[in-house]
Formats: sequence, C-alpha cells, structure tokens
Amino acid sequence: MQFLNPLGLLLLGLIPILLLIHSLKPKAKEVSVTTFFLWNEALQEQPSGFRINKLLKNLPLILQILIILLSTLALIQPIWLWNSQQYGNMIIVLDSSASMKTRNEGQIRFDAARQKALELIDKLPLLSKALIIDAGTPPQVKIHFSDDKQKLYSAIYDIQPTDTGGDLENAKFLALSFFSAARDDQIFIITDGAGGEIEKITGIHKNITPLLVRGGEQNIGITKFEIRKELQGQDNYQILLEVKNFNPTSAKVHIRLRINNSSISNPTVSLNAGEKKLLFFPYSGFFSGIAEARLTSNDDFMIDNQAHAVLKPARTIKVLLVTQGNFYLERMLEAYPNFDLEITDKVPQPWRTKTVKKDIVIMDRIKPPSTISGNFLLIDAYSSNIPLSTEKSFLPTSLNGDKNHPIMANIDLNGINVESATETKAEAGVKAIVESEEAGLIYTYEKEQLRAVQFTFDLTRSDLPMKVAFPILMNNIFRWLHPNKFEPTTENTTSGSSYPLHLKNNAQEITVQTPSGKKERHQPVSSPYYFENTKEVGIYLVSQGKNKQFFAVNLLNERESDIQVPEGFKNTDSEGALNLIADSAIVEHHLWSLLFFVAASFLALEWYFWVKPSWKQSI
Amino acid sequence: MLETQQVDPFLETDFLERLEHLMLLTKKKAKGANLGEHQSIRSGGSQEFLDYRTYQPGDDLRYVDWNVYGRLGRLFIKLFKAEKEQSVYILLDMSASMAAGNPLKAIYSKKIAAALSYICLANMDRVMVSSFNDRMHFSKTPERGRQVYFLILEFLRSLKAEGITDLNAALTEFASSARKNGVVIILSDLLSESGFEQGMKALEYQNLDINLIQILDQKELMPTLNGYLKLKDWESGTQDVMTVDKHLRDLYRQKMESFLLRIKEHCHAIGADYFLTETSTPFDTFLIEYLIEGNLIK
Repeated sequence: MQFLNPLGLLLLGLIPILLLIHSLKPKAKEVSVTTFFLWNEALQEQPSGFRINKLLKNLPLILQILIILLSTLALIQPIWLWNSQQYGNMIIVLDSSASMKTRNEGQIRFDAARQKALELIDKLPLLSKALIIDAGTPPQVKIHFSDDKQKLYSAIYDIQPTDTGGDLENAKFLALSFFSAARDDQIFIITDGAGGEIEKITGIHKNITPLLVRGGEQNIGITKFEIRKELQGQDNYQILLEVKNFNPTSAKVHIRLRINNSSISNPTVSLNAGEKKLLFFPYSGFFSGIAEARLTSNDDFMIDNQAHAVLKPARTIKVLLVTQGNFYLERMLEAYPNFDLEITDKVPQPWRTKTVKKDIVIMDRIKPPSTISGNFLLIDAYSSNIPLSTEKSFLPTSLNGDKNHPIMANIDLNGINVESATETKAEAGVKAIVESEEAGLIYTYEKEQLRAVQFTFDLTRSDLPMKVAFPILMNNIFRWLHPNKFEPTTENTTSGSSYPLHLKNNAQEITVQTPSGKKERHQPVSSPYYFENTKEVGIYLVSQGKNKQFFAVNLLNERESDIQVPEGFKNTDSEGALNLIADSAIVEHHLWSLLFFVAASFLALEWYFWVKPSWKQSI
Repeated sequence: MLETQQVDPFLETDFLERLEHLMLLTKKKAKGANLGEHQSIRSGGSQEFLDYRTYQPGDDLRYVDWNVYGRLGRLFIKLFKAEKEQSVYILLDMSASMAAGNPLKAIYSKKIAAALSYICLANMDRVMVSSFNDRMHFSKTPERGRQVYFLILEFLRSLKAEGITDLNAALTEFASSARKNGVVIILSDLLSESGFEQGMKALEYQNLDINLIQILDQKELMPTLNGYLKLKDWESGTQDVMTVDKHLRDLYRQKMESFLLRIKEHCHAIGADYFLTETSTPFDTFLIEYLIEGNLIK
C-alpha cells in the first residue's frame, strides 16, 4: 500500500473539532417538575463515564467520524499494489510514415508492420482490449479500446502508409495518454526506426516495446529542391538541388532535371557513403510550368527520388492610389515594375465596379466608401468596415513593432518620428503591429474577403518616407496584402504540411485532385484556404470553376529519407511481445474513488437517519 | 396556583344522589358520643341484642327486660349494639406540587374530598376537612349534618395550592390536635423530599384509622421528558441541568417504583390503607369502583 498525498492526513484534524462540537451543549430548556428529588436521585445513579459512552452511542457522530476517516484515506490517495497475472490492455502504434514504403523483397516495410500488428491482435488475451494509433502526421486513434477483433483488424487495414514524415514522438504521447499503469497496459510501437528516433522514443518507459521491421536499406534521395531568381538578368534563374547518399557505401546517381518536360540538365553525380551534395543549375527562360528533378537510381525508397516545383511567374498587380498628392508614395509605387498603377484624387465611382478588379487599393487621407472585400492600404483614412474608432490627435513617442508579424520583417523603427497621429481604439479583429506608448499607429485587419493595413498617421507628417524602413515596410505590406502575385514563385510544400490556396473572391467550392488522381471537394471559408491533406508527393490540381492552379508536394525530409534501421537495437517480435505482457506485474489499484463512494454512502445514511427526520419535523 | 373558580362545578346532583347509598367503612369501632350509623363497642340503642347487665339507678327504664324480671324478680337491662357516630378527618395536601397534572391534582383531590365528605355527612358522621402544605390549615372542628357539606364546599373552593410540602410536620401537627380514634383520609401526592413516615407514625399513635390516597399525574409516573433540560423543582425552585434520555427516564421510573413501594410497605406496617390513583383515571370511577373495591367505602 502506498500513499500519494500524505498531506491529506491533515484532514484528520477535523475529528477533535467534531468531538468538541458534539460535546458542546445547547441552552438547556427549563422545565418545572414535581418529582425533582426523584430525577436528582436518578441523575446521581447515572454511571460515571456516561458522557463518553453517550458520545460513543451517538450514531451521527460515529458516521461523521467515519466520513472524515474515509475522506482522509481518499485524499491521501492510497494505492493498493499486488502481483497480478492479469493481462493489461494493448496499445498498438503503427508507423505509417514515408520510410515505411521502403521496398523489401516485393513488399514494403509497412506490409511487415501490418502483419505484426495483426499477429498482436490475433493473440490478444481474453478480457484484454486493444487500441490502434496511426502514427502519421498528425497521429490519430483509429479505434478506441476494443476486444472486437474484427473491428481491430479492420482498423489496421484502414491504415495506409503515406509520403509524409512520421511523428512517432507525438504518437507515443498520444498512446501514453491512454496508458494505465494500474492495468499493466503495454504499448507496442511498430516502426522501422528510420530517422534515429527510436531510442529516444522507447527509452523513457518500461512499458513501451518497439517492434522493428527491417529490410531494404539502399537509398539515395533528394533532400532539397528550390528555384530562385538570379540577381542579374530579367529571366535568369538558379535551380538548387541537394542529393544525399544514405547508403554505407559510395554510389553514383544519374539526375534528370526538366521544366515542362524540356530537359535542363542530366548530370551523373558520385557520392561517398553518407555524402550530401548541393548542386546548382542555371536556367534562363520563361518562369512557368512544372519543374521536375528525378534520380534514376533504382533504390529501395522511391519517394525521395523525385521532386517537383510549380513555377508561377510574377503577375501584374493592379494598384489604385487615391490621394490628393503624396510624392514619396507615388515615386515608390512607380518603382515596382509589375505594378499597374492608377492614381486618382477622388473616390472613383461606382466604387465597387472600379475597385473589384484592383489587387491593391491605397487610400491616402481620403475616406473610402463601405466595402466588404479587397486588399486595402488605408493611410490616415478610416473605413466603416474596420472596427476602429478614432479620437483626438496626439504626438506619438517611443515606437514599438510586432517583430513576429511578416509586415514587420527587417523593419527598424529607431529614429522614426511621427509629428501627429490619430488616437484610435481598436476592437476585436484589429491587430496593432506598430504602437507608440499612447496608441497604435499601424494595424492589420482580416475578415473573410477583406484585408487591410491601417496607418493612423499621415505619411507626410512623419519622416518615415525618408527612412530605409519605408520601402521595406511597403514591400512587406504589398506582399501581405497580395502575396501570390508579387514575384515569381514556386508553388510547392513538403508532404504533411498544410498549403495555403489563394482563391478567387467568393469561392464556394473547390476541387483538389491528388497526384494519384483522387478528387476531394472542399468548401473554403476564407482565402487563403489551408489545404491539409498533402500526404502524397507529386502535383496537385486545384479547380475553382474554370480557374485552375497547381502546387507540388515533395518529401524533402532528410530524416525520413534515412531509412537505415538502427543497428544493435533489440528487436522484439510479436511472440516475444506477448510473452512480455504475460509476465506477472505489480498492479496498482487506486482506492480513492472507492473510498469517496463509501464516504458519500455514509453521508447519505447520515442524512437519512438524522437530517431527514429533523427536516420532516420542521415541516 | 390553583384558582378557586377552577373547582366549580364540583359534584353533580345525580352523582351526589349515588353517593347517598354509600358509607365510609372503618376498621376500628367508633367512639362517638352521639348515635350514628357506625357500630360502637359501647352498648346502645340499636335493634341488635348484645347482652344483659343488672339495672343501676339512672338507667333508661325502657331497656329493662320485664320478662326476665317476671321470671327472676330482678331488674336486668337489655344491652343492644349502639350505632355510634364517627369523626372523619379529610386532610388535603395543598402544596404547590398539587397544582400540577392534567387535570390538576388539586382539583382531583378536592373532588374526592367533597365526595367523601358528602358520603360521611349522609351517614351522620362528623366531618372535618383541612388542608396542609408544610403545616396544617385547619377548618372548623368536626361537624355533622348535611348542611355542613356546603360549608365544606366553601372551604374547598377557598383553597389554593401553594407552599412547600412537609408531610411529617403537617401530619404530626394534626395528630397532636386530633381526637383519638376516628378516621383520617389523607389526599396527597406525597412528593416530599423529607418523607412522610414520621407523620404517619404520629397518626398511628392517635389510634386513627388511616387511609392514604396518593394522587399522581400520569407524567409523574411515566415521564416523557427528553433532551437537554434545566429541571426546576415545582415547589422549592431548586434546579439542575441534565440530559434526559431513555436511560435517565428508565432510572427515574425505577426510582418512582421504589418510592411507591416504600409508601405501600410503610402503610402496611402501620395498618393504614393505601390507595394510588392518577389524574387520568376518571374521578367517579376511582371513587365508586376503586375505593369500594379497596373497602374504604361500601
């Protein structure tokens, strides 16, 4: 027997208090009697120690003491320990990460892992239950504790290996959250141990048993694939490719690099054991279409033998500037080569028609009409659609910026002076990214189709336009307002990561076609809409009505590509694992709930015998 | 305290008519000077022949047996059993404790006193009703005749239950002033801490026919008190705090039983008749049935 909370014994201090309370006498009721001398004689003959006996015969007191004793016992959290031959429950964590697709004699590692899981279920002891966790990204419970073997088999067959990196550590924590030491549960992690996580994961808990699957350990893979614009030249680009040899021996690999099926380069690279090489390939031409890098190596892990990038050229951004005149702002906007700038000194009419096709609308000290969609930069101009109330003017001092916000990246606010700003009070949804000691100076606001950056001061009444921070700030603002058109980009992400889809206004439904041809329908609620199901590497097609866009998903995960199964790690087969859980174990049984239940029962008894009659009497 | 008005009406006329057929029984012979309805050891004028004795001058010539004279030539006087009056003393305990009970013990005892008085007066006995608490409160000397009944009623109405009981003192005082012989009927709850034995002894020395009627309330016999109480003596005001529970109640009942047994045994020892009644017993039932059965009246 162990006690987890000995401090609970302090509750016993209530017993003397209780005895004291029961010893206290109420004010005696005066009664006149004619036979006083007989009562007195009777009292004299009452045996000594009668008061103690009376207390002992006091049923409510006995019950109350019992309630305190039981509550104290419950509070100190006693644990009853005993040797048990009883089997606990089984928690099976099945690794479904990309490395589990490693080929081995006509099968993949995952097939062997699934087989181990099925064997465990086959031998699930009577009265034991099993819980199955898919250790994908994110880990999820496929079936809760169940002794229905058919359902358990079905849950295991439902798990399919993906092209994503695994999240075995979180899967372990998920498993531990269902683990009960009292039942002597066992957690089995069926994995290939790729990425070297296995020691870290299994080492911390005696009830976690790894079941390793081996086989097929030859791999050379792509670990980086990026395309960027060269500083020199309008259409000059650089393709970056990193290749790593994960084998214990040196190897040669042939690389095929193509853009829109046109070959860019086909080099053969020699790599020593464990060597990683960074390769650069120049590219001049139209930045559009799909770039593909492929290794012709016939190794055991195919997923990292390819990488894609969807090339998206910079597009013209239509900008409307409504101002009475702002020299610095106009000069800066004119400097952007892909800005189609329209300047007007009055609010264009009709407002909706004139602004709906503009990518960015800048209102400089001119109040915009009401609008619920679009990208706005409001400079000392306030929209009724942004919940920001204005008050008096003030002189801002000591500017501070939110360094974590993308608009504030690389911005140095030191030395910037603002002569006058409008004091504002921001409501829900409005976020200050630059503040003075007195009030906010720059806010962002996002709601459904509306995105806005709000300046609460006039640029011409500050020295911001003359500071280095000004073009950087504006550039960050334009990128934040309209990120997908700003410059040539590659539309790609790593498997398992969410991908932001920039959609046309009022998109009701989109269809996403995965590389394997499976189509998924989604109802986006905002733009960008974050697409989560990137478990497959390759090119995804997003259809929004007639508009189509692509993005690529690559593994590019060095840890996952390292498919070497850790050597020297004790491998337990499923038979051995079952023997493990068959061993007798110290079983803990928490008694506090039982004790509380008994205490509550005594309380009910007390109420029934004591309080209830008094209550009845009173009514 | 008992108010006099509370005793009215005392006894119904119908009930009084029933009482006329009853008479008080006595274990000792009456020694009254006047003729009454009780047997006397003195020869008297009743029809029941007792003996002869020689004539002496002054004897009533009506009692000379002329037939014997004719045969023997000597004068003999016929002696008959004389029906003599007797003195009945009814002593009412009017201490404060008699004001307890439901109905009040004082009223109950007054009714018994009134009824017994009426029975005695109807039988030509001399009756004296007195009250006592820690001393005697005498009324008039014993009187006879039915008209006395109204005087007795008047006296009873005037009585108030007050003061401390001291049976020994009161009864000793009475014994010292009472005539010898006679019947004494004591109506009391006998709830006196100082006891009663000494007083009863004093009565016994006076050769009185002692009849003790103890009147108690049901709650005195079987108390229902419970809880944490400050008990206060009805008469002296002495008080004590105690927790009355079943255990103490049981002890009290044992004490009460011992107390009653002590009274009974003492009465038996001095040849007194002892009657116990409780106020919940109807008064007429007690008087007609219980006292007849107990040979106090017939």
